[in-house]
Amino acid sequence: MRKERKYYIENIVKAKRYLIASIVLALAGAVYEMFSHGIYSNHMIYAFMYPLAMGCLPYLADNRGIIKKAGHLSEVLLLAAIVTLSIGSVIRGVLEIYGTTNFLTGAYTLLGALLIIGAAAVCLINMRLAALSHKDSSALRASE
Amino acid sequence: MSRISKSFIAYTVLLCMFTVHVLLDTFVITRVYGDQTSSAGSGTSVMTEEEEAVSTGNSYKDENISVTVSEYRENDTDIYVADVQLSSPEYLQTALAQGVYGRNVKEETSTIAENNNAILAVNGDYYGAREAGYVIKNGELLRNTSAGREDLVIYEDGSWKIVSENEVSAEELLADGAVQTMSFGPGLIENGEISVGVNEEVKQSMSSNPRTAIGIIDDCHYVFVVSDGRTDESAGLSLYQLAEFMQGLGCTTAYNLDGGGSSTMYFNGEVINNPTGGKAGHGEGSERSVSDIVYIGY
Repeated sequence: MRKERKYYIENIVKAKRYLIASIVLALAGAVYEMFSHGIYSNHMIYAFMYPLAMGCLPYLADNRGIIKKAGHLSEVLLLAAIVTLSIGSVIRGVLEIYGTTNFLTGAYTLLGALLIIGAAAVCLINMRLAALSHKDSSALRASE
Repeated sequence: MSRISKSFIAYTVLLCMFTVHVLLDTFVITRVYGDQTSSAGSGTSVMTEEEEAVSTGNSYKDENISVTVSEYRENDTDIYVADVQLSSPEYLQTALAQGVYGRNVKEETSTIAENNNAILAVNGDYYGAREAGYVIKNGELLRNTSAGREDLVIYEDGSWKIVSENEVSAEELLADGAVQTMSFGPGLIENGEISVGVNEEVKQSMSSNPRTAIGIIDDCHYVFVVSDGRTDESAGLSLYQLAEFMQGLGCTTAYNLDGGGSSTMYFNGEVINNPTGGKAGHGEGSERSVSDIVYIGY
């Protein structure tokens, strides 16, 4: 119970950081749109969704410490994915509002996707290792 | 600090550098494609000497070219209309900024017009802002990548047609005699009927904006239209309002060009509308630099 409470508090702190990032992005998008002469961009408007949906909400929903079990590397990869996708969304928004395009912006989506896959893979490996080590220690205890 | 955290910081720094590169590549770094001086760049000289011309504040007339500029006030917006009659469609031309084809090669409409001795000019389709879309200028194919847009095609015989890039290739257009394509759109009027929806807009634009459009009334009889917008004096037009206006002028085919801050009309050495596309600090009345213009001249 105490362990779960500890996870919960840690997660709330991290969720808060992502929430602040979401608010900053939402405000920046709103201000940019205000001066864009009525030209809107969904990429600019919804850039805040990345830290909110991929950062804030998962941490709030995770009261069993699953993210913690996924490991530090997995968390950092997820953070890198959120940063990449958020910046990519803002840059696409800027270009879209100006009325231009650049194929290089595709790199943000590609990198973001790779980082998410990497985070998921590391998470699965760590969970599997944890399960195996739990199984081994149980078997050892049983043999003793 | 752990190795993972250090790696994350290094990644973030690289990401920021990449972002700066993307922004520079989009807005600053100039890249010229193909020949340094395309023959399309400066229009084709169809006469060596201009005929005796009579020019007033709002008109120009010589043996081959007649231009009359009028100002209208509709939908709470100032609209500038240049009625153009030519003896030959050859005098309707396009020109590229600095006379070359490339990305981030830009000049103000008035500068390109002056460099090409244009009598009348409006901004074109700003091909350089996008990576795809057909570019045929003065009979030269410069880009053949489809963006799926509606293009205005101007043929050698002076006829106009609005086509979809999804249905015909740039090479086919060229083979059919196309001398100019405009890849912006949408088409406003086809066969005398309004072809744009009441709420249709250019991608993410809201309804009221400065606009640039060109239309054909009859053989060698054209109208160039530029509306103000984004100012206290002029609200701007929606595409449908623009189409209605051009239908009222008698256009059988009309096409929307790059608008907003790009919208500029140049006549007899002066910019006659109120462009809103200048750099920060220049305020209203300053032009945005663009890739290309449509002009009347020799």
